[in-house]
Parts: sequence; structure tokens; C-alpha cells
Amino acid sequence: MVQTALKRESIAKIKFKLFIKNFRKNWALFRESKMGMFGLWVIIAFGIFGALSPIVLNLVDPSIYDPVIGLDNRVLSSKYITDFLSTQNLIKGIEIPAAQLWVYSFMDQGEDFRARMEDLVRSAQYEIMNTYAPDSMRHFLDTIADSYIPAKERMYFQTSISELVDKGVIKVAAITSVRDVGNRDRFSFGDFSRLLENVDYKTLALAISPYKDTDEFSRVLLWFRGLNRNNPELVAEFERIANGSHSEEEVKRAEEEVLEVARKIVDESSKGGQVNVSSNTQLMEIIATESVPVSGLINAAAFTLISDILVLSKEDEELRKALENSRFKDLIAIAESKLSNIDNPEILKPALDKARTSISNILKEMNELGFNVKVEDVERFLEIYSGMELAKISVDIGPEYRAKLEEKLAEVSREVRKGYVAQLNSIFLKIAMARTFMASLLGTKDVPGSYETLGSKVIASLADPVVSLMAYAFAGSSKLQKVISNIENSQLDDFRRMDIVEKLKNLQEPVEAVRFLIGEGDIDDEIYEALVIEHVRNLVDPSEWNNVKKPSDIEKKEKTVWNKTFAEKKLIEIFNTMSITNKIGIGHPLPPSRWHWLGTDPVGRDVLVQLMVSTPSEFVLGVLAALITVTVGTIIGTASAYYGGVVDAIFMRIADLMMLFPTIAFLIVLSGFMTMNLFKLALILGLLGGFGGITLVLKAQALTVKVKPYIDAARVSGGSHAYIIFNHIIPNVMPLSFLYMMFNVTGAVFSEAVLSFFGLMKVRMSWGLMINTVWSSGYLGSGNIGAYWWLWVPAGGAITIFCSAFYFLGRGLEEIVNPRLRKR
Amino acid sequence: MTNPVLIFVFAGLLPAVGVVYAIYKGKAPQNYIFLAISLALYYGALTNFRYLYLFSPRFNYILAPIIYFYGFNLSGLSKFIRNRLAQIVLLLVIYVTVVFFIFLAMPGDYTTKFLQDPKIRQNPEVYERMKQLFGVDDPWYVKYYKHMKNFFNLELGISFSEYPKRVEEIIAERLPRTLFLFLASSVLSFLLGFDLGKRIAWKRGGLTDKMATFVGIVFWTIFTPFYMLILIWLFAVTLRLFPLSGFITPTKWFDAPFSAQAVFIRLLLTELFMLVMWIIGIVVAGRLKTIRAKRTAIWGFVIGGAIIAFVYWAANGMGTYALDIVHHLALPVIALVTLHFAGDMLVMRDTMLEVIKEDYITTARAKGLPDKVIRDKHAARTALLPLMTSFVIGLASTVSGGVITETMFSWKGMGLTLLEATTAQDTPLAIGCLVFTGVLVLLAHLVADILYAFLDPRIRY
Repeated sequence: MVQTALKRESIAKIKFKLFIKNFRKNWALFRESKMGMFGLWVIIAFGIFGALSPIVLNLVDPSIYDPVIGLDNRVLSSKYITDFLSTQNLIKGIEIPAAQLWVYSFMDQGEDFRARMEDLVRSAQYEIMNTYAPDSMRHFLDTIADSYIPAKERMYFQTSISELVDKGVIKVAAITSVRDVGNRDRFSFGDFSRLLENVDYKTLALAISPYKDTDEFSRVLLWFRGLNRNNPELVAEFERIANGSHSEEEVKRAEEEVLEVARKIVDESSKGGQVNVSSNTQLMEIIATESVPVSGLINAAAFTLISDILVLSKEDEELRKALENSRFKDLIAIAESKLSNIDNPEILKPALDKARTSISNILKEMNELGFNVKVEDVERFLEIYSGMELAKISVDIGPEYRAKLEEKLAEVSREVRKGYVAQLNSIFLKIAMARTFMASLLGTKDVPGSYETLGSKVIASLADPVVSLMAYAFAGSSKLQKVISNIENSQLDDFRRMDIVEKLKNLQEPVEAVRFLIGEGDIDDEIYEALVIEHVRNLVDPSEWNNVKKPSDIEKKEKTVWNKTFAEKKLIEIFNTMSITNKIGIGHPLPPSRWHWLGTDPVGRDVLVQLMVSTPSEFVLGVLAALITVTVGTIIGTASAYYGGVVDAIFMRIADLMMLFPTIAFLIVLSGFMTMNLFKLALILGLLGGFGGITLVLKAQALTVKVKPYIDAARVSGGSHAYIIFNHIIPNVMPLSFLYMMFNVTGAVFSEAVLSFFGLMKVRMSWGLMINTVWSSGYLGSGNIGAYWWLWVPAGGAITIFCSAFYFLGRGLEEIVNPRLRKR
Repeated sequence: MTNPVLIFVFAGLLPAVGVVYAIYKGKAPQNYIFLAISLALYYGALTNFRYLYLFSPRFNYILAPIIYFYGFNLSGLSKFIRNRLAQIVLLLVIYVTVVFFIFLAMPGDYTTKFLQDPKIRQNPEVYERMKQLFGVDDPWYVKYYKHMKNFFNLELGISFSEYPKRVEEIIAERLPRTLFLFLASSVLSFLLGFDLGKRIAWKRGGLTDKMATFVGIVFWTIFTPFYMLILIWLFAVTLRLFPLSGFITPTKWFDAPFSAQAVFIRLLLTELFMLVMWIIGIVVAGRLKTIRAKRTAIWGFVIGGAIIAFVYWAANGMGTYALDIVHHLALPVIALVTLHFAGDMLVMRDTMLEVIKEDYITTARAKGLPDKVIRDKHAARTALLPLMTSFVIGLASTVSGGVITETMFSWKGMGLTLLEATTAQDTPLAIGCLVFTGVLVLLAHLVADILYAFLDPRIRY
């Protein structure tokens, strides 16, 4: 045993030494080949390039630089404004920042006012453009829809309240007054006939009598007539009582009776499940009539957060217990039924991430309002949150109703009121700030009252702040000229805004209102006070408003003296904010710059990162396919050389057939009708190559080895066929196999590139896919190939250089394998 | 087959002549067996006797003559061609079979594509009916038999994406376009590669050699779509010499009294005519003695052919339209020629360098033969064979590589049709294109093999 072990070791050692010796010799030979060395260096360079990709991916921001889902929508320099924005986006970037503040300034005026402002925009279009340009002012309308906070928040609120009403958590008092008996949405004709069965018609007539001249009154009469068509006297009697005047006490008693019965009927038929809060008047009505209890409103406001807290409670059981003990316990079941199966870890993880970010955002918001809350204190947290939400939806319902809501909230819980007051105050601050801005812009303190009298002047002036900033920052440079010519040469008449061009040429200094856009504006105390006083006036107990944050509490910012670099920096910031919030879009693809060394592709992804991330997979694919090819080819080649006869005939015919195969056409069809990934492709390429031409070459080589005397010697000393093939023939064929492996890498990478260029591969990213993206976006089919060179040259060049590096390496190896080549 | 004369010629005279000749020539008993099989197949197809034909009567018309030539002993080139033909037919059957089994093994079937249609998804009975019509639930051997029968009957079905065109119609329209590109590019690049390889190997080590080798390697390894983009950028965008892509300029064809296809077929025939003229020139030159006479003969035939072609096009009134097609053709042909000549040139150079070291070259030099004679007659003639080998091996990839060229230049040939059929999940058209690409490769192989046998006497004997 010991002896054999020793012997084995010594053989292994000898083999190893031989290997080292051969390797050194071959390396020395290889080094003489310039081509081979060049190829090797290029491959090493690609290896380093590819190996860097995980490090680079860790360093950069994935939302911007991710090779597949990244999108860079930042505005990083003034070049972006002057060169990479379409006219439409440029105009939007100029006007939307001011337009947002304009919308804030009338946020508390209600939806009627808002509709009038929309009309103002529409009529302003004719005055500013002097022509029919339907899209020129569209962004103002979009901004109104987007920045008019109460309407937007009410939409979210509507979905949660409808759901809770559906599930029966919120009981809607559909019949709030006798008048509702005639409201078809709440009380059907069937209900009405049942009402008459339970209530004397005279009582009903009495009860309905105070509501003459309303739709509901006439509908009640109509329905009554319809039910008693055969009894005209009854109808006449009913009409007489209804139209007559009666004592208040009598009417009140009748009303109570009718209401009681009517409510019972509605509850039985479970009608009246609809609650509409999407407009401010509907919300006002709900608050006035109390058809929805205040606790229901609070529940609906807090509902959106319940599911997030439930997700979080998967990690912290205490949260759920606290929630079950709070006033919001009824909502748990409904929120849970909405959640998808969060026990599944694949779903839970992203859900947890989402819940954490949304909760932390809310906590931050609360912190800014001066609340010190933790999620663990679930009830308080949710109460404050619902107060804040209710404040957002009720900004524009008018001071009386706001006050009524606030007082009712206080009855339910002090915390809700605190949240309400703080949020409302913060919105007041925002409105005051916006009004100060508009006042400075329009030169009148009467905002928003003067908007309608000023007309299109308001809209026209909204361009002033950014335009003046831009004119100041770009003055005297070609940048200003670029911006002007961008607008003047616009392809679409809608965006040829000559008024802006005029201002760009004439305005010299930034107007005062710009201060508000760069965060240096001061809120006018008077405007703020007016807002608060109007609200507090209607309150019974305004104590909560004594210690709210006032403009004077906010630290006044030092005003920077204007200079060009500062102005340019701020201008870029303004555009950047617009772009990040998706108000404007930069025209990708961007040419190479400091932030994207090889530019971006049409979708806005970084080309260099894509190039980098693709490299490792190209290596894997190439080497894997080549290994399979060479392994199969070597075994088949040597076997058919060694055995000859039938084995030889069969494999050689297969090889002939394989060489006849139109490989690329075949791969296209294969990958078109089944999903093709890198490993499948490597396997298919490997087998196609392994059974194909390579066997012919390797068989020829193996035949020359087979006739050597040492094969006979091995056979005589009792070596089996397999032993001889694997220990004597294959090692001698190996150099040639290795050589062909290099050429096969080239072929495999080429095939993959072609397939993914045709869009047939299922890979995350590859060089071929990069060209495919560009090709299918239409950047290569037209005459501007040269202008967008960075889209196709890097990827195409990388494939070419990578393939040729392996080809060069192969040529270098060929000089070792084939000594005759060396002598030249 | 109602014409009695035709019946007499094809059913009586032709087989009778064949039988008499075969009996006269045949020696061994197996010869007569082959003759009998051949006759049986022929008459089976003629009388439409279904137990006597494989797949379809048309296939019998191909098989019968080939088997007939096994009815007597042939020698030399004709034996080689006969054997090669038999092999090619066998390979054709195997190839079509392989295509069938690959589609059988792939997930989905003919009807899978239609499941994306919501109307069909809502009506399962329609889908069931469709499956029945396509024979999806048949056992595999029934499907295989239908597949082979339909292929040899040239009934490839109706395309889904270009409904209601038949697949064979589409292929008949597209195959000539691919064939034209393939012929022009392979012949030109072969000649260019041969000539340049020979020259640079002769002046090895010089600057020209290094430059040419470098350029060759660049063309050999460049990513084809990338190279074509560069060409488009250079020639079509920057220099504006050629159109960006496409087959014709539609505006020029508004009032054309004939279809583009008709003009194109004539162009293809012109190309073939030129090729034939050139080959005749070579054959004639082979019988002449001096280099000068040979060159004059080849050029004479080529220029003569060109003049005839020019006169023909000037006379038939299609000249301007043909020029439009040629204008669109130029860039793909340039791309293919430059790409393919590189490989040929490198192979030629390498073999020439080997050949130069042979003793007979030294002998020729010692005899005092002119340098050019040694190069062209002694060295290049020998070095031509490995070049031919590599050309034959590369045929399949040349044909299927046409997909890339055709896609990049929007040249609607077989390759682009195959790609579009694949992306549209148009199974009948994809199978048709794949099979006919293979047929094209097989035919090209046959022609190349026969040419090879002409060049290399070792194969014939």
C-alpha cells in the first residue's frame, strides 16, 4: 500500500514537473508571437473590465446607473437646458415652477374658482399665442390638475371611504332629512311605496312641506301621484297639505316620524351605500348633514396606512396587538383581505421595503409639523395621520365647514385635531408663500382676487421668474442664443412662444419673485394672518391655534447677492427638480459627458455600465460553448480515429451533415420558438460545433498519433482502449483542441451577439442586445447614424475586439502547435 | 397527361432507351436490380400508384434517374457526380427530417400562436377545430408522413403573417434575391481573395503583406452588423452614394408596366449568363498555350458577355428600372464581398506560403521560368485546392449569414423572411424558409463539389 501510494505520488509529481516544463517552453514560444500576446493582453483587459462591474454597480446609484432599469433624468449642467431639451420641455421647465405656486395660491378657493382659472388659461392661450395653438398652454392645465392638492387627495380618500362603506365599517346615514325621501339616489320608488304603507300620507305631506321649490319635493309629489292614480281626491288632499303652511312643532313631529321609518326602510334594503367626496361641495354636504359620522371619516383617512402597518407587524408582533387595541381595530380585517399573500417571503420582502419607506416618509412629515411620534404608538400615530389627511382634503371647503369639521374632530380625539390643525397651518403657510410670490409677480396684494380681472396677464407673467433668471445667467454667452433659437425654430407651432423669446431678450436682472423658487422668499405676514383669522373666526375654541408655527417662527434666510454662477446653479436646480418629478423629460440618448462616459441609450441607461455588465456573461458563454465543443469534438475525433470502421463512418457522416447546417438560420428559428438563455445557447452551440467540423481536424491529428510506436507499446503492455485514448492520444491532440477552443469562443460570442441583436435571446443585458435596443428604437435606420455614434460603436466595437482577441490568441497558439508556421 | 405523344415519349420511349442502354452497359447482377427499382419507381410515379412512391410522386422523379445510373458501372467524374447526387438527395431527406423533429421537439405547435388572440381563447371550440385542422393531436409518425409528403409536393402551407399568400409563392419570390446576393458576393470575393492572397504571399514580409494581413484579420473578425453599420454610415449617409436600405425606390416604380420581380429575375439570369461566359472563357483559355492568349480569351469572353448584357438591357426598356435595383444592390454586395474575401485571402496566403517551400517551385525557378508563370501556374494552382475546401466548408455559414446582411439592408430575401417569420411565430413560413435555406446550401455544395472534382484529379480517380 505504502509503496503504491509513493509510486502514484511520484508519477503525479513527474507529470506535474513535465507539465511545468512544457508550459515554460510553450510560454517562451508564445511570447515571441506578437499577435498572440496582443490577444492575451486584450483578453486580460476585458477580464479586468468585466470583473470591475460588480464593484462599479455597488458604487453607483442603481436607480440611475442600473444597466436594465436605470434611468437618468437629472439635469446636471446648463448644457442639458440648452441642448438636450425639446422646445416643449423647455417651455414647461420655464413655466411650471411658477405655475405650481400660482395653483397653490388659490388652493383654498374651491373648485369653482379652480374651474374659472382653467377657463382663464384657455382664453389666455388665444391672447398670448394670437393663434389656435391648443397644446401651448396645456401644461398649465396639467399643473392645476397636479398641484391642486385637495382635489388630488380627495381622490385617494374617495377610494378608501368607498371601500369602507362597501364593507360596512362606515355606516352612512343616507337619509339625513325628509328631503332625501325624494332623492332618487338614496331612496328608490320602491322604498317610497313601502314608506307610504307605514306612514300616514298626511304626516308625510306635513313633513315635506318646508322643502317647497326643490327637486326632491316635486319628485315626492310625482311619486305620490303615480301611486294613487285611481284616487284623485287623495292626491289633491296631499298636495294641499304639502303646499300649505303649518306650525313648526307640528312639522317637526311629522319629520321625526317620517325620518325614523324612512331610515329603517333604507337600512333594510341596504341602499344608500354611495358616498361621494370627490368634489369640495360633496364634502361640504357630508360635513353639513353629518351623513357620514366623523369617526368614519377618520377611519377612511387612516385606512391607507393600516395595510402598511400590518406588513410591518410581520416583523414586530407588538404593532398588531397595539392596532387591535386601538380605535382602528375594525379596519384590520378589511386591510388584511386586500393584502396579497405576505407569508410568501418573495412577496414579503418588497412589501416590507415599500411599507418602511412610506411610513418613514410620513414620520418625517410629522416631525416637520412638530410631532414627536413613533409607529409603536399606533393609535396616536394613526390619529395624527388621519387629522393631517383630513386637513389636506378639506382645504377648499370654506372656513365655516373647516371649522365645523375641526370641532367635530376634537370631539372624537384631541390628537386628530392636533394633526388637523398642524397640517392645515402648514398648508396655510404654503398658500401664503404662494400668494406672496404672486403678489410680488403681479404687483398687487389682492391675490387671488385679482386673477380674473387681470386675465391673461397672470398667465403671461408666470414665465417671468425663470426667464429672468435664465436671461441673467446666460447673458452674453452662446447659451442664451441656443435657448432662443430652440424656441424660435420649434418644429411645432404650439411651442413657438415668441413672448418668452421677447422676455429672454429684454429681461436683465432676476425678478424678485425668483427668490421664492430658490427657497429664499419671505412669507408676507399679513396674507398669512388673513388666512388664519378667517378660519379661527368660526371656531368656538380656537386655543389649538395659539401655538402653531407662524411665518415669523421660520428663520429668515440670508439673501444671496445675484451673480452669474449662482444664478446658473439655481437655474439648473430648478430644472433638475422639474425633471426628477417627471414634469419635464430630457431628450435621451445623451452624448458622452462627465456623468456618462459613453453617453446614454434611448431609454436613458448608461452605455458604459451596460458594456461592463455584459462582459462577464460573454466570457462565460464563449468559454462554456468552446469547452463543450472541444470536449465533444476531441472525444469523438480520437475515438473515430482509434476505432475506425463503423464508429468512424457514423461520426464522419454526422460531421458532414453538421457542416451543411445553416447554423445562424437554425439558431434564429430555435430561439424564436423557445426561450433561449445563455446556458441553452452555449449547450446548443457546443453540440453543433462538437459534432461538426472540429472532429475532422482532430481525427486527422489523432490518426498521426495512433500510428506512433508508443501506442502499440501501450497496447502490448495491456492498456485498455479507454486508457490509451485518454492517456496517450488525447494528451497529444490536446494542443490542437486548445487552439480550436480559442476560435470557437469567437464563434460563440458572435452567434450570441447576432441572436440578441435580432432580439431573440432572453438575457438581461448583452452587447448584441444593446445594439438591438438602438436598432429597434429607430436610431440606426435613418440618416443620423453618425450623429448617434455612441449608441452602436461601443457595443459593436466591444464584440469585434473581444472576438478578434481570441482569434489573435488562437493564431499565437497555432505557432506553438504547428511548428512549420514558426520558421517564416 | 392527356397528350398521346407525351405519353408515348415519357411512358414508352424514354424508359425503353434507358433500359436498352442499361442492359447493354450493365454487367453485375446488382446493376439489374437497380434498374428494376428505378423502373418501378418511375412507373409508380407515372401511374400514380401510391404503394410505389415514397412521400410523393415528385420525389420519385428525382430518385428514379439517380438509381438508374447505378444500373451500370460509371467511372471518373460521372461516377463521382452520380454518387454525390445520391448523397445530396439522402442528405436532403435527412435535413427535412431533422427540421421536422426539431419543430416537433420545441414547445408549442402550429396553433399556439393563436392562443394569444382573446377571441379564440374565449371560444375553445374554435380552437379545438383549429387543432383538428392542423392535425395537432395526430401521432408523430402521421405528422412526419404529412410533413415529408407536403414538402416533396411543394405544398408548404399558407403563411400566417402574410396571409393569404402560400409559403412556396413567398419563397419563389424571395429565393432569387438571396441567390443573387450569394452568387455575386461569393464569386467576387473568391476571385478577389484568390488573387490578392496569391500576390501578397508572393511578396511576403513587405509592407503590403502586413497591411493586407491586418485588413484581412479586421474584416475576418469584425462583428458583421457593426461593419454594415459603418458601411451605411460611410457610403449611404456621409457620401450619399447609395440608398440606405430596401429593394427598390418605390417612387420610381409608380408607372412601371412590369413588376420588380420580373426585372429582378432577368437581372439574376444576366448574372448567371455572365458567370457562364466567364467559365467558358476559362475552359477556352485552358486549351491555349501562352499566358497572354489565355488572358485575352478570358477577358474577351467576359467583356463580350457584358456587351451582350448591356445591349439586352438597353433594348428591352427595363434598363432604368434595373439600374434602380442595382443601385440598391451595391451596398449589400460591397459589404459581403469585403467581408468574405478576407477569409479567402488569408487562407490563400497561408497555403501559398506552404507551397512556396515545396521542391517543385525551386525546380521551376531553377528551370528559369518567368516569375509570374511560377506563381500562377505552379504555386497558385496547387494552393487553390485548400482555398476551395475552405470555401465549401464556409458555404453553409455564408448562406445563413445572409440573414444579417438582409436585415441590415432591409433586403427582403430568404434570411429576412426567416427572421420575420420567426418573430411573428409564423411556423409554416419559418419551416419553409429554413428548409429552403438548407436546399440552397445543398445545391451550392453540389455545384462546388463538382467544380472541386474538375480542379482536383485525385477525386475523380
